[in-house]
Amino acid sequence: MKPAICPRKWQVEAARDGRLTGKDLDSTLRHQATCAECAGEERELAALGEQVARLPELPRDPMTARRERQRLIAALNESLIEPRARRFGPRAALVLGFGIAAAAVAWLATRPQSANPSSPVNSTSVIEVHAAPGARWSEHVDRDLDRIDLVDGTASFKVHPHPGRRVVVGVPDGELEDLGTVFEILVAEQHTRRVSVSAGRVSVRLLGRPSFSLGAGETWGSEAATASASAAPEATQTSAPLAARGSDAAPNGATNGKSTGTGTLTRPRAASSPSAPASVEQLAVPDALSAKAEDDAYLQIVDLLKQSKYTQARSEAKRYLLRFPNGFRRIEVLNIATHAVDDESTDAGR
Amino acid sequence: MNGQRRAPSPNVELSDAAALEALSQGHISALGVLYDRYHSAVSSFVRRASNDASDAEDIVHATFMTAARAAGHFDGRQSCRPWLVGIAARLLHRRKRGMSRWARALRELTLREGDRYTDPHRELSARDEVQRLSQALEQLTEPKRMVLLLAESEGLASEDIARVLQVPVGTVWTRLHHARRDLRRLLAREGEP
Repeated sequence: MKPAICPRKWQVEAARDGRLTGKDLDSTLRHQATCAECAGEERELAALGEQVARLPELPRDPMTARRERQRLIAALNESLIEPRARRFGPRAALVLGFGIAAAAVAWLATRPQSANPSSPVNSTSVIEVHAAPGARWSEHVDRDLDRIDLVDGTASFKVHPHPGRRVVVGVPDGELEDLGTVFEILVAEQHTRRVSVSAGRVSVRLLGRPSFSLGAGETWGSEAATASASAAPEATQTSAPLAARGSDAAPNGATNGKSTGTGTLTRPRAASSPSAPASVEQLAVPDALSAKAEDDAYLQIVDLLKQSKYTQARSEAKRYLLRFPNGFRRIEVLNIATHAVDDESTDAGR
Repeated sequence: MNGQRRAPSPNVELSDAAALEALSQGHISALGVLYDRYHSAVSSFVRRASNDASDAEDIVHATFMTAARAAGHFDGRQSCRPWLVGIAARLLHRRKRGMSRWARALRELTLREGDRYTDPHRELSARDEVQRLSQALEQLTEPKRMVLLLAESEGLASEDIARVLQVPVGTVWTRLHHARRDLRRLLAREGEP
């Protein structure tokens, strides 16, 4: 035989949530005082509510909180200085949608290809790219700048006469500026391994090295021992903030070249990644997406410094700057890299 | 004497209302004060209500930005926590499941297992009350969970919840009833040997 259920039990929750008022509420409260079942229901609901209310706040990584605080205040500051245009209405959103679709179609039509043998990328390009199979690269053509980003592999470049246009080849650890030339670059594991110039002259600016130029017939390799170039450090050092003033593998020798570019060192732009991704992994940019990865990289540098491992700290700092060129702690890391160099040289001088 | 507006001194403990008033006058540091005070509560609410840590930071960010823009409309009550949580709830409710969700799904596919977010607190307090309740909450549907948290954890009245979520108050009552029923059932099942 089933136990009897109080027909007024539903009123307990109704009273609690404010659905009952006036006489009905008073009546329910009087009933609860005498009905064990309804009193029990009230106690259970109250206990459940208290349990939920007592749930502790979920722990939050303090570094994330600090970074987000900074981001928040910066965003508010920007919104005050440069208030955005009024919110889009539905019609504007429709126009925007068409715009995005058109841009997507244009991008699909003009997107660069991987390992596409010998053909100018588009009608406005002044660069002819001969990419080895497996090479990954992209091209961006602006009004007065033609930029190729070589992410990985070997590619040679023939630059047609380009009065009034700059031609820059970005590599993971720096950039090369063409001064009217035929040249070849090998990139592996995020580093430039070799630059060979067949004709003309190229200005090379790599992270952690003084900029230099290469002329026809000259080759530069990433190891000082293999460098066969006879090129001199340029008179004008690159103005890029990332260019540490290291002298470890700078080629020795001859010609003074002119650095006509601004010398900004950038990592390849993930959004415009060139090759059709071969796998899902290539679609993702874990470094760029993961604030945790950035925190981990930074903490690793700090840890190395605490252990007085300056060489490793400097190398990790460089890696950090390459992985997170707009990282939250880039200035700090740049300082760490520079100081690590100083500490090393101090140690060496002792 | 310069003509600059003086921001409230950071050493003075600002009330929520004073911080929001300062914010409405363009003192951006007041947002930092509110953030320090409530980011943990807002973040906890967002993470619990959405069951999805991947865009929690964006929602928290948007919550405080919205609060900054609407600072002049704050009604001056003692604590702005329910107001902030209400904004977060509305943002969660309105969040779109479009291309960004696809992109996130793709990223999730590529995340190594070791990179996934693990909550040390959760690991340490396995099997205790909090853990049981948290797990049971996670099994509720998002609308039910959100209404329950707003009512029981944040103390919002049903009418306020209805306003925040832009649904009829009857819907709030229904969801609340079902949330409690489901939660009790889940907790009872957990307690069984």
